[in-house]
Amino acid sequence: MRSAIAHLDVPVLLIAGELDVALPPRPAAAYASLFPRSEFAVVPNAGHSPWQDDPRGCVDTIARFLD
Amino acid sequence: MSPPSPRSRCSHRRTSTSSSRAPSPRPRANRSGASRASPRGLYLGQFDLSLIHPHPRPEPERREHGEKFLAELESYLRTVDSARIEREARIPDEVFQGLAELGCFGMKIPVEYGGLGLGQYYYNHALTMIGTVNASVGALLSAHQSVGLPEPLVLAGTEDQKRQYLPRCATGAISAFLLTEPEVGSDPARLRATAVPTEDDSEYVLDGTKLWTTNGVVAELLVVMARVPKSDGHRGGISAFIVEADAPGITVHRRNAFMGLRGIENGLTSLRNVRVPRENLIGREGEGLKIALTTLNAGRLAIPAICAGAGKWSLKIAREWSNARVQWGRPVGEHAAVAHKIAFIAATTFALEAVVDLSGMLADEDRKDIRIEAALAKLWASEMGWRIGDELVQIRGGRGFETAASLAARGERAVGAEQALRDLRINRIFEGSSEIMRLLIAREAVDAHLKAAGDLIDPHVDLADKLKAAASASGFYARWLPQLVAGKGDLPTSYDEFGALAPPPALRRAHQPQAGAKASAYLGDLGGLSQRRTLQLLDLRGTGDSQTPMDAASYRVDRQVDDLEALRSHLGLERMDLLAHSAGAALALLYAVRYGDRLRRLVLVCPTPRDDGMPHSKRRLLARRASRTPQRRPSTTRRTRSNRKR
Repeated sequence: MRSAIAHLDVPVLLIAGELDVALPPRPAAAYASLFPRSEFAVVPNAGHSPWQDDPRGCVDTIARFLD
Repeated sequence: MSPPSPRSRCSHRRTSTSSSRAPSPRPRANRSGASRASPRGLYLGQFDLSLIHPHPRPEPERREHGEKFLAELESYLRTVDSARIEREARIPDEVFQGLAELGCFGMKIPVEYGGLGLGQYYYNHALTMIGTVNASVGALLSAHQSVGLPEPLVLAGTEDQKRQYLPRCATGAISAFLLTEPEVGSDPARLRATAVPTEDDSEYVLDGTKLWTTNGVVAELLVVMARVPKSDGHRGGISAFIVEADAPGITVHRRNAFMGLRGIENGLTSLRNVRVPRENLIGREGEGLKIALTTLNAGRLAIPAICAGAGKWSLKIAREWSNARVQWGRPVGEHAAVAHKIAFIAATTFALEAVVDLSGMLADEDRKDIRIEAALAKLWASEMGWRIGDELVQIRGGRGFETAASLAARGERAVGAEQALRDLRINRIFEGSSEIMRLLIAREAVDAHLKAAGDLIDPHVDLADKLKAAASASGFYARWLPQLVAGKGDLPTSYDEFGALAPPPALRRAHQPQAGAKASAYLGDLGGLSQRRTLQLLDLRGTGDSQTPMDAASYRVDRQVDDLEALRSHLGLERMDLLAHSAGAALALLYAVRYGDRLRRLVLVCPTPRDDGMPHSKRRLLARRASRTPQRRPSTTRRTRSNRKR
């Protein structure tokens, strides 16, 4: 899987919650770096469901990426 | 798959049906090579959409013919004095006349035998319309046509018999079905009436007593069920005979009086040495119960039709009274308690009519064995009809308890709500009581399994036979079980014609209730994104089977990847955006690897898959299972669980 991801020619946005215990920011950043074309964002003060903790910021980040 | 063997025995209008084992009459649809009964399919996990989609409709010419007849019937029924039928406890001769002139006695009889050839659908509509006017008239016509002579003759009669009797029936020779006896109701297999062949075999001599012979008091033609003793050249058994009602030896002892349906001509009839020509045997000896049962399959639909009519009438009365009656300064219909009752009557009547229409069309198309549909419809309609009548009486209050004649005598509108209730009560008893219907329906649910594995659980079966049964049962389940997980609903492109109503499985799973809380959070807060047709993948753990979300069987990532691809082409997207949360990322990544060129952008929100695509929690679960020691659940998992519950 790792090697397959390394060749993935798709822009990837990885969003992590600052307080997410499932995937804390540091391993999340490492995760994002596995993709050749990736962006990484941390939503401050957010847990595992960041769109609930910061809807506006989350949507804006995603919308900017998708445009 | 062959149609199930009907397991009930049936009787005539005034009786019910048992579910004891009977020889299996071939249901009607079977003769034309039609497919299985659908409720049985449902019990086996097979959904047969063709039953309701495309929704059956009458063919244009049949429609024109039927609508024309209904219009004539409606204008005639406006002249029928229902109060007089109730008052005099009989249907006046001129009503018999009027109905006969319209052809009402031959609605279902084919045109070539002098009938109207309306088919079940329009016959049902006619009964519904009649049910809004007078239930006794409905009983007269349905006892004659649904279970009287015409139906058994059409089903099992010879060409000669049809030519001889159907035109008579069509023009108003009323018929009655004589099965029930004083000692024999739901279990007609024990009936006592006998039919003994004469020495030269040219006639049968009938003896016996028959009870609750709806129409029997006024009938010209009788269908009599009697047992032929087994002898040389005679296989014997319960058999059906056409008997002229004026034949010597037939005595109508009395006309019975009932709580409701006061207009029906229903009596106690005895047969003493009644000689019936051999040609009047319907079908063969021993086929009587089979004929009776098959007759009732479609015959039962008369009851839902009449109940739908009663519902419509009740709705009208409830509406009008709730507007007219004012208490505490408002029409009572505006008080919630009464409004609820009206809503119940309206909704249930709508559903009743829909059930009647669909069942009628299925019967007309003759492509399915509608035995169970008819039983379901009969059970539900008769129970709901009674509740509707009861609610109407409640809405009318004291006036609901008062007879129409009494209301009229003191100058109020003559509305017989109590009569409606009394008339509706019998529907839960005759043509197969509610209890027998439940047995019949439930029996169907377990029948396939009893057949496949019944010997395994039968205490009277010895070990050798149990082993044999186990072998054949495993054959059945080896074929059956895979269908449950790989049915049509799991194919990505099935039900495509329903467009957005039937998205491919990946999306359907994502909208299952256990993922609902999350779905609404995504779709709500990220509403702007959903308009971009960004596909949102929820936490995978919320998309499997709700009871065992982590089981390998439900963890069908591989298949979901193909579902997703099907969804992309279904949405007509050349390249799509994917947004995945938590364990949903596993699916998104697998998709990206396999179909990377169809992906425009990928958003992973708090992804939790490992390199192998397996979520952490899956791993933990497997580890926990391996060790079999309870562990404290990590907080993330706990949260997911509680989310799911919400």
